[in-house]
Amino acid sequence: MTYQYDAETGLLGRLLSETTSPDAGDGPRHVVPSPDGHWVFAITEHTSYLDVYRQEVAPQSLKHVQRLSLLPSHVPISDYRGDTVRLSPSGNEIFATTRGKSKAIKGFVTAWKLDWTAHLSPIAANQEPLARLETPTSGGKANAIEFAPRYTEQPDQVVANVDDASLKDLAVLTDDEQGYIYVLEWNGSDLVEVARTKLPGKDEDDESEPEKASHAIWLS
Amino acid sequence: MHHGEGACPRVRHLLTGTFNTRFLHLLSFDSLTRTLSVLATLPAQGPHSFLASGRSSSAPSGRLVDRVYATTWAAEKTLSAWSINWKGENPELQWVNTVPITATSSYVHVQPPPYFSKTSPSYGLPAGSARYLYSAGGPTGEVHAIDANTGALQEKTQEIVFLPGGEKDLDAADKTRKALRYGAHNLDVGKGSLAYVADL
Repeated sequence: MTYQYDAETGLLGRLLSETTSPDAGDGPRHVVPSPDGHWVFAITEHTSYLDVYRQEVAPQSLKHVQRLSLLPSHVPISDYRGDTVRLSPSGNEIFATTRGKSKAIKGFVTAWKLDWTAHLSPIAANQEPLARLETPTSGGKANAIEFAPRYTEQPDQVVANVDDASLKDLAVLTDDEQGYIYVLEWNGSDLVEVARTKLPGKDEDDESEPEKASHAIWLS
Repeated sequence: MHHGEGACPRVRHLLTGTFNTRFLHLLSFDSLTRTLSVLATLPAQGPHSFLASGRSSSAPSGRLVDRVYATTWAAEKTLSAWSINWKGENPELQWVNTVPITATSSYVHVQPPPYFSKTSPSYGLPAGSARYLYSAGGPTGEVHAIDANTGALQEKTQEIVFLPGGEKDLDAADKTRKALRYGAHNLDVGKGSLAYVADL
């Protein structure tokens, strides 16, 4: 759903449009806007698709223009639950995550290149992903990804190097199955794990289960 | 290739919630030794299923984030605010306050965002001191004012009902975390004065 927003009052105004996902059973669970406001990206929980919508104005609506699967072609869609979607800090790529429905099924983080000069969709039709990382576990309810902020000479204004495609970026990924937190590094073409740790505690109701990570953010 | 050396700190800090304990965990990542460690475990109002960062009007220069907002997965439906003290060697988190909400929230979003980014938390919007917290989950979404100095959650300024039947159906609707499987899931603001809600 897209609402009018007033930055001064902080209030949502009129419901401008309701956009239905392409298939009835999709379950769009996370939507994020592009930094220029021209596109909206959504991930579907039940079908693990990244959907791309173009912003239409006067009247406002979102037009579906592209659909790509997070999954490799040989796996059953019903084994996965789509989770989060994030652009990279440079804005040159888009990442989406999906979780395995059981401990036997590992999740994925999939990345595609974005071309903001394209008119029909920033991701070309049938474009192969730039990268796909199979996560160490199913991710449980998590497999949530967040990128670290970029820094510049003036940390108060993280703007100057935001377009620099030569910088590497860090990301954190959370695991709700075994309680891992992973730090990943993205160099523009490869997403690799560089560090991990496990949460120290146990489930409050069942000591045989580990403490399970939900969502992590960068504080610095 | 580089991480933008010069201003980029060697040690980066992270905060995570959990799905099954009432703790937040502060972590540090040493970019030189490439190690990630749990620095501190903090009793919280959780389990905190989703976190959002914010910045107060009194944030020290050079610090992008000094406030954290959290949803909870627990039976008590609440949102919580935390402040970060950066004076020592490691950041210290302190609970600020907790407010009740109508239905369990899935994701939270802060406006203005604490720092500029093309991705979360700013989606290209300008940064500033946090003034509003947005939450959405299941049948409802809410807007809470934030005290620009303390970061405390203040009054609820708006509640939106996402049920097809509207407010009259709210009493009977499921407001627990089960409703996140088929109701509203996130509320984020983007350019063009628009706010987006994903609804399963």
